[in-house]
Amino acid sequence: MNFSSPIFLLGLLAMLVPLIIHLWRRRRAKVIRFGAIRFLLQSEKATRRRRRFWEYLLLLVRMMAIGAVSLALARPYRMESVPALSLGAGQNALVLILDDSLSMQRDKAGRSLFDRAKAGANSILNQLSDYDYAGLILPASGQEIPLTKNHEPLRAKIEKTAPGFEKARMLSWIGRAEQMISKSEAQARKIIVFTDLQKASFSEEPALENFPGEIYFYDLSGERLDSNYTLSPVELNRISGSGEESVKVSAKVHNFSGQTAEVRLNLSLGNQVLARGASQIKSWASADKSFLVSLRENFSAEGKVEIENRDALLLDNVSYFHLRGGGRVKALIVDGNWSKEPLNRDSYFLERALNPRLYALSRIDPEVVSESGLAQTDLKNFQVLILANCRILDQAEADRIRNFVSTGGGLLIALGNNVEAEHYNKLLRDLLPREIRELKISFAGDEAKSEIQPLRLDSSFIGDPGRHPILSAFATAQGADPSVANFYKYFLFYQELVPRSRVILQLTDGTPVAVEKSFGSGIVIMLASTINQDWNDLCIYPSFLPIFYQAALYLARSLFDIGAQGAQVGDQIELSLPGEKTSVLIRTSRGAELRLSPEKEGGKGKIRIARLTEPGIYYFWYLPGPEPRREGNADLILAVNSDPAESDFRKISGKDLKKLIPAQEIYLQTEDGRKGREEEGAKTSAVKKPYHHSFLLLLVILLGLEMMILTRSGLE
Amino acid sequence: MTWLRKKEEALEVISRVRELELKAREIAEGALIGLHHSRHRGSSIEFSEHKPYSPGDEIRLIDWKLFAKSDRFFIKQFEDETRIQSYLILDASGSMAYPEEGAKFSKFEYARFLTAGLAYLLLGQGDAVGLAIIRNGKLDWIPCRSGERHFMALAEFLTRAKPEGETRFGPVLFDLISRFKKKSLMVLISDFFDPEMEVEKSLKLARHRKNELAFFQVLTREEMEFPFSQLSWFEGLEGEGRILLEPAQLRRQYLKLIRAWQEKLKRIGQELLADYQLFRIDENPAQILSAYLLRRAQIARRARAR
Repeated sequence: MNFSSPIFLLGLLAMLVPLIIHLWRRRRAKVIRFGAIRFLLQSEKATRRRRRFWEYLLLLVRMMAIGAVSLALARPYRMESVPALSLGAGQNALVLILDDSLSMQRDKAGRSLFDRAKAGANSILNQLSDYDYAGLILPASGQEIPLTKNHEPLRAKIEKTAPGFEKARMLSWIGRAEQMISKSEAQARKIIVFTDLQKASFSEEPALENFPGEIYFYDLSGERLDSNYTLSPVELNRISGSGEESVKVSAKVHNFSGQTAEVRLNLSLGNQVLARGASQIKSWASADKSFLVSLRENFSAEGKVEIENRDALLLDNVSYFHLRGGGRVKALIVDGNWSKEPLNRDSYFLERALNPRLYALSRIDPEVVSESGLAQTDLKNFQVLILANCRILDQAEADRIRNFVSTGGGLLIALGNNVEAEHYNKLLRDLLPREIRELKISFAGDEAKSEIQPLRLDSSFIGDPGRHPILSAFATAQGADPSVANFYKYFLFYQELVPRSRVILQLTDGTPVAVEKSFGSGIVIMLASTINQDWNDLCIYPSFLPIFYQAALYLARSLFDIGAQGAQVGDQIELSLPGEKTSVLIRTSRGAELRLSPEKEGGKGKIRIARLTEPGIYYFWYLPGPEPRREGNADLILAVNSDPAESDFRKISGKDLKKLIPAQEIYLQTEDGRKGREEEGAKTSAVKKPYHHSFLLLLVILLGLEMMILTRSGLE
Repeated sequence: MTWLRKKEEALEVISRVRELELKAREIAEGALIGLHHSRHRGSSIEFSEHKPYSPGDEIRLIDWKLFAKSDRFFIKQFEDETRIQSYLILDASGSMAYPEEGAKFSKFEYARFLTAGLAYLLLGQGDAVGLAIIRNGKLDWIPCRSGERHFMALAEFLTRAKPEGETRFGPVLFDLISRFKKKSLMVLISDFFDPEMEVEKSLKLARHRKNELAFFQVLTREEMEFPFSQLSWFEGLEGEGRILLEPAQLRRQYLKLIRAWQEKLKRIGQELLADYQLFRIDENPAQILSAYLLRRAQIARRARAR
C-alpha cells in the first residue's frame, strides 16, 4: 500500500479516541442509588455476554471508522496492472530502448532483467503490424537500428545481444530516440524503454527537448531493492620499510543495500588466494580495506580483490589490478672521466639523480666504474648500462655492449669531449639511434664573432604526456620545467630516419638532443650533450633527476612503478605509438589477442580503441611491424574495472523522471509479477491507481453498522 | 440543653403527626369519594350473636325467625362488624428509602401516608387496627385497638419509623401471625423487593389460619420504567454493592424482570385469595385506594350474591 499524503496516517492514532472516550465516560459515570437493584443485577447477569459482544463490536466499528477516515485522507494508491501500450489503429512508430548496462545482468526470480527486457521487447514487436515502424537502441553498447518496417533485424539483434559491463547513458539515448522518431510521419510515436531505472543511468545528462509522443518506461527491477556489494578500483601504494618492500593494496568496498553487512573479501595474485578479510559496512556506505603484499623482485602478476558474499550481481564483485614488482634496477655507469674524487667525475650528478641515498628512497642502485673497469665487470648483473663520455676502446668492448642490449639491456649513451664521432659511428653503428655528425657550439648569429648563445629545450615535447614515458612526470609536476636548461655544446646527428627510433627531446631549433632506438630486445637512448654541466646546465635544475631516473627505469622496463594503470569499462583509450612502432598487440587476461594498426593522423601514430568493454587486465605491446610479439614486459598494462556507480541499484523516482524528460505522456510501468508468465509480463503495466474511495465506502458501511448496533443493542 | 432539643423533637414529632393525620384524613376521605354510601355496610363474615333491638337499629337486621318464636325483636350481630382486626404491615427496608433525592417523597414516605390513611379509614369504620413495621428483619408493632384516639398512637409510631436494612419479611411475619388471637385482615405495604420470596411461606401460613390478606405494592416511576440513559454506577440501598451499567442496554431485560415479579406477586395473591394493588408514588394514593375499595366492594357483593 502506498500513500500520496502519508502524513494523514498519523490520524490512525485517533483510533484510540473511542477507547479513550469509553474510559473517560467510565470515570465520569455518576452513582445512582437505586431501589430495584436486584432486578438490575439479574438483568446484567442475563445480558452480560450479549452486551459485551455488542460493546466490543461497537468499539471496533468506531475505531475502524476513524481508521478508514485517516486512510482515505492519506490517499492510498497501488500500482495496478493495466493493459499497456495501446497501439493506435493508424501507423505506429516505436523506438525500443533496451538498457544493456551491467546492472541489467542481475537476476530476478531466476531470470536476468535483460532477459525479461528481451521478452518484453519481443512481445511488443509481435504486436506490431507490417506497416508499423520500429527502431532499436542499446544504450550501453551504443548500438542502434534506425526505424524500419522490417522487424526481423531488430528481433535478431535483440536475440543476439547480451548486456555488457558498461553503463547506459539513458537520457542522451532517449534524446537520440526522439530524434529518430521525429523524422517519422507515423501518427502514434512511442518510445519504449526497458530498464531497471537505475539512478546512475539517468545522471549527468543534458536536458531534453519536449517530446510530442509517449514514453513508456518498463521498470523490470521490481519493488524490492536487491542488496549489492561492489569494489572501487584498488589503489596500490608502495611501502618501503626497513626490510623488504611491500605494497598496500587498498580496496574501497561499497555496501549498496539497506542494512549493515559484513562483507568478506579475499585478495589473490595469480590463482593463489593470499589473504582474506572482512569489513563491517553500514548501509549505503563504503569502507576501505587494505591488504599488505610483500613485493618480490621482478615480479609481475595479475591480482584481484574479490567479494565473497553472494549478492544480486556477482559480476561486479571483483576488482582487478596488476602488480608489477619492478624490484631494484642495477645500473652500471661507465665514466669516461673517472677520478677518485667523485666531484670530478662526469657521472657525479647522474649517480645522485639515480639514487639520492639519504634524501629519498630509490629503486636504482647505480655503480660507477672507469672505462677500463668495464672490462672486468660482468654485465649480466645489470639491467642498465650508462656510457658517460666514454671513448669506446675497442671492438670487443663494443660487441659486449651490443650483446648486452640485444639480450634486453638498456643503454644510455651520453656524449662529451671524449667522444669521437667517426669512432662511435664505426664501432656502435647499428646501436646508435642516429649517426653522429659533428660537434656544434651554439652561437647566436654569425659563428665566429658572436658570443655563445645557448639553446633551450623544446617545451612542446615536455608537456605532452603521450610523448614519451620518460617525460610523463612533467605532465602533472609543476615548477619542474626542463626547458629552462641551456645547451651550449652538443653533437649534431644525421637526419636520416633510422628504423625503430624516435626523438625524445629536441632543442628549440629542432636539433634532437635525446634519441631512442630499440635494438634486439633492448633499448638505446643517446644524449647529444654531456650528462654533467660541461656542455649544458640541465643537471643543476630540478628536472634533471626525474628525466634520468625515469630514463633508467624505462631502459630497465621498470618504469611503471608497481601497478598497472587503471581504466573503467566504457573508457575510450587512445594510444600513441613510438615513431617506429606500427602496430599494437592487445591481450586480455583471458587470453584473447588483437592486433591493431594505428590510424594515420597527421603522421602521428595513434591507435584508438573504441571502448574497453570488459573488466580485466589488458596488455599492450607496441610492435614495429607484423613480426611476432617478443616475450617480456608489456609496454602498457591496463587494469579495467566496472564503474561502482553501476552497482548501486537505487532507482530514479517517477517524479524525477518526469522532471528530466519532458514529454507529452510518460508512463511508468512495472512487470506484472503475479501472472508469472514473462512472455506476457511486459504487456501489462502498472499505473498509480488511487483507492481511497474504497475506504470512504468502508466508512459508510461502518457508520451504517454502527447505527444498526446502536439500535439493536441500546448502546450509546 | 438536651431538654430543649428533646422538646423541639417532640414538637416536631407532634407537628409531623398532625401532618400525617391530616394527610391520612385526606386520603381516607378521598378514598371514600365515589363509593356509594348504601353499599358500605361492612362485610358479614360470620354470624356472632343476637342482641335485643333498640330504637335506631336497622330494621333489616331484625331476626324475624326469632321474633316468630319469642315474639321479641332481636338484632343479628356479625363477627366483622363487631370486631375486625386489621394489621397494617409496613416494610421499612432500605429499598423503601428510594428515591432519596429529586422527588417529593420516597416510597417509604408514600407508604407511610398510605398506611396512615388506611388506618384512619379503618378506625373510622370502628375496626381495630394494629401496625407492624418490619425493619432490617425485626418487628416493631402496636397491637390492634379500635377507637379514633388510637390513630394518634399509630401516627406517632409511623412518624418515628425510618427505612434501613434488607427486606426480610419471612420470619418476622411468621412471628407476627403467631401472635394473632383472631382472624385478621393483613395489609402488607411494601415494594416487595424480597430476594428469597420468604414472604410467600409466611403468607401461606397466614392464609391457612383464615386471615385475610392484601398486598399493596409501592413502586416509583423510575423502578417501573427505568428511564435512565447515562452510563452510571448503580448502587443498592440494602448493601448489594454497586455496578457500572449502560441503562439503555438493560432496560428491556429489567422491565421484563420487574413485570414478571409483579405478575408473580399477583399470582401469589390469587392463590391466597389476597388482593393485590399497585401504588405508584407519583399517583394520588386516595384515588388508587378508592378504586381498590370499589373493586373490593363489587367482589364482595358478587360473592354474597352467589
